[in-house]
Amino acid sequence: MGRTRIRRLAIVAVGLALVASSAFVGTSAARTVAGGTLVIGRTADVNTLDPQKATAFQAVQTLGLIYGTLVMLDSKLSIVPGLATSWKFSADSQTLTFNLRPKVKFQNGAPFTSADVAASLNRILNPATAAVARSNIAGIQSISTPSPLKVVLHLADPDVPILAALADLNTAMLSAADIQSGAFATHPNGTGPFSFSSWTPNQTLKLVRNATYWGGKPPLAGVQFRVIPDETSVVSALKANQIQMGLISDPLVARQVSGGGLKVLRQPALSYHVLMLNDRHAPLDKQYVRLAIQCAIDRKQVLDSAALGEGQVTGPITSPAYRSNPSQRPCPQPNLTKAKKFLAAAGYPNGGITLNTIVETGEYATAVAEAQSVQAQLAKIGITLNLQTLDSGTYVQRWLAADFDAAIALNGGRVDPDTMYIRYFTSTGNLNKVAGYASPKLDTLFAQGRATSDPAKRQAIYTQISKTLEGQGVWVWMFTAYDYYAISSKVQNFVPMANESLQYLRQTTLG
Amino acid sequence: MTEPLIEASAQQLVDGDAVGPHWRRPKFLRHWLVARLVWSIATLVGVSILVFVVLRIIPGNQIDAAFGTEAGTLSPAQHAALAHYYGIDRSLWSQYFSWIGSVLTGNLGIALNTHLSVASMTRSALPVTIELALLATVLGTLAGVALGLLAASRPNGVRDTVGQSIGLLALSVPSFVLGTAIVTIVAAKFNYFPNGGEYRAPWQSPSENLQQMLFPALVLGIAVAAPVMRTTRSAMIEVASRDFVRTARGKGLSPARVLFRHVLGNAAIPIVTMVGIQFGYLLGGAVIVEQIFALPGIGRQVLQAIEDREYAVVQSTVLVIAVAFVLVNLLTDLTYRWIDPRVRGQ
Repeated sequence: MGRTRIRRLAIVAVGLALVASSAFVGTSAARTVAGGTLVIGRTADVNTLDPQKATAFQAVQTLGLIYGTLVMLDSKLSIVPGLATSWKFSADSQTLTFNLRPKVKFQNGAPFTSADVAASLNRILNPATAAVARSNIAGIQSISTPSPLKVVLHLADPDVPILAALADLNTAMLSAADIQSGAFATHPNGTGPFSFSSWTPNQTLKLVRNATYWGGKPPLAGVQFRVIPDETSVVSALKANQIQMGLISDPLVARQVSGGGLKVLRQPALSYHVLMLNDRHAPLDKQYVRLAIQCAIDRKQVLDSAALGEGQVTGPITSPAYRSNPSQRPCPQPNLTKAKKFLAAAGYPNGGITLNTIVETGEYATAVAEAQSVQAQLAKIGITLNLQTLDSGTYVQRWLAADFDAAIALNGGRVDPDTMYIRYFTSTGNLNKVAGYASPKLDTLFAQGRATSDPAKRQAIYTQISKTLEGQGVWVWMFTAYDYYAISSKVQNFVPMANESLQYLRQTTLG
Repeated sequence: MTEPLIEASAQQLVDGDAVGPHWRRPKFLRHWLVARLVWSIATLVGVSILVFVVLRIIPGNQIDAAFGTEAGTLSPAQHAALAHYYGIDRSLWSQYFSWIGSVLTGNLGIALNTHLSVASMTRSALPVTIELALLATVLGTLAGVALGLLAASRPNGVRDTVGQSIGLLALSVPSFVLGTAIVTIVAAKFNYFPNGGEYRAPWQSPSENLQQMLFPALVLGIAVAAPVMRTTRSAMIEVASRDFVRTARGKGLSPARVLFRHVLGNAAIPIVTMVGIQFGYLLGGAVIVEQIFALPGIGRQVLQAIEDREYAVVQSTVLVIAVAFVLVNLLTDLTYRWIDPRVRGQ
């Protein structure tokens, strides 16, 4: 009976092989880059086209190329002129005057004037908008526009950090007419170096250069963002020259990128990996217990074991201009003897402390490994971490309700240390319940920082805040990870930024 | 995996449950079709309630999803404004009935963050998934039936062991491992990764589309082949031991004719059932494979919407998938009539 059947099987097999091989016909792996359009692969799509409500960084990155802000950040995150050419605080830091850049046009051709600034800021201030940036500019009491190129913000209290808030995409300038019509929600129209062209959700978002950009015509004819959900596949697409830049966060994947004219730019992020302690839960209300934890944790080891050493040990402030010096903290190197002394002084000579610790899975790759590393280290001084691994939704709810003794967290950083921490560590901060710590001393220091516009003096104040936070053992700041930009060697003049902005695409060329 | 369950039900079919006595009652088919439709509608209502409830049980709403821990910085007024915008300040009853009401009038709703209509999103995602599911099912069925025949030709012999081992291997290697391995190896060795390019529909560029579908269809095809192979094998062995097969042999029919005409023909019902079930599953979107190969299919649409807690998108898309599943099941049942004369005769 065998022969006929085997022949038929053979036919089936040949058929299968044909189906498989026919797909290869006409393969041309190398694709040429048409007209200098840079294709960027990333794992997720934008989730909104409204710059003032954008929270996910894909949306922030993309809309940051389309929209402009009054002031901008350079590669060191220092504030430089944007749509405003100059600005001035009054002596009491309660009035801020902007002179706008003349002859700036929106991408639809309409001129940019002070009326657009007022409309944009008022939209953010309107609670019904539910804009993210509202809390950062809530100090604005009124806005006056004495001329088309002059805007005056009247502030309730001294508020120097508002300048950094106005460099954020969430305070992007929309056109007053667009705000009226709501058109920008589906067709963005900004003053940035690239204009919106088309969007196929979950696939591709296309931008073309804005030839009338006030900063000069960008060399790239266009930028395309392509969604490739899996980071390994992003690297594969890069190797196959389907994309010329890949945005990657997993260090394991970043290490796969090598050879073939590819390189990886490593940019320390502003966000920080931290062990948050709820200092209002006994026995964490005792400073010595917290310091014992500080001294028992080997941050470098956590970084090495959880994140393959891909990152930098950090103190509280991660912004380059104000960066904390981690060697000035209590126990810059782990010291178990000292840790045990602290515990004994707090009344726990044998440890015996258990901390319910929440850990998030799914949002970032290293959380569980960090938790296990910290758990092993604290076990050495008799502190037990009871790890509760939660999905993102549950984690966020427990986090917001401060329903934890300790939390392994990856918290977002900010350009200005005031914006970064005032919500956590002042007694009236809206995340103070989560932070679990406040003191009159910190309240005073933060108030001083807000009223001081001299950069050197500000820096001194935030150094002191950083020292206070670590001296009190408020949280255990561990490390900042890298953002990876895997690029083809043809990509030139691109500068990554700590806030993940892609703004330097405006000067990038494809060689 | 739910595989053992599926196999059990396939086995029941072989044992004659579905082609049992009630199939001989002439009126029953008509009854059965009506009953089937009623049950389908009940299933869809059940699915709509289930997905609605489950979405609201899982922690975190649209506000939490959009803002993460930043939600803590929203003022109460902002929070209220957002809750109103997302419609989650209304009672659950009102949310459910306003959704189901608009679905019944043909409006699947919109994604509130992106302002895109679910209908337009589904229109672009569903064809991708259908094409992938079809290709994978064809590949998987061909390979699975061939392997099953091979294994059944000598039960417990060498061929059987080889066939079964391949089947077990295909069942055991998860799609994400196989998919990632293919992506990594092929891209590294040959600089070939068609899925990194912009997705092309078959009518835009058949050749590019086929290249983009090749690897994902292979990966899924292997996953389909394994259960089909096991079903084919057991059905073939079972039918081959029946009296009519012995009679056919005794009549002097050629072995090939006995095998294909008599044995395979009668073993077809469980195989078709299994293929139908597998195809139905694939229509639900092969989420992981769609992720790895960057295919903008329905699975990714649902996954992304769940992450963003876009309730309308998840609910309506799941309902669309459920409708597809019900249709495939109906089609499978109709296929029985076509392949089994006993059913057709009634």
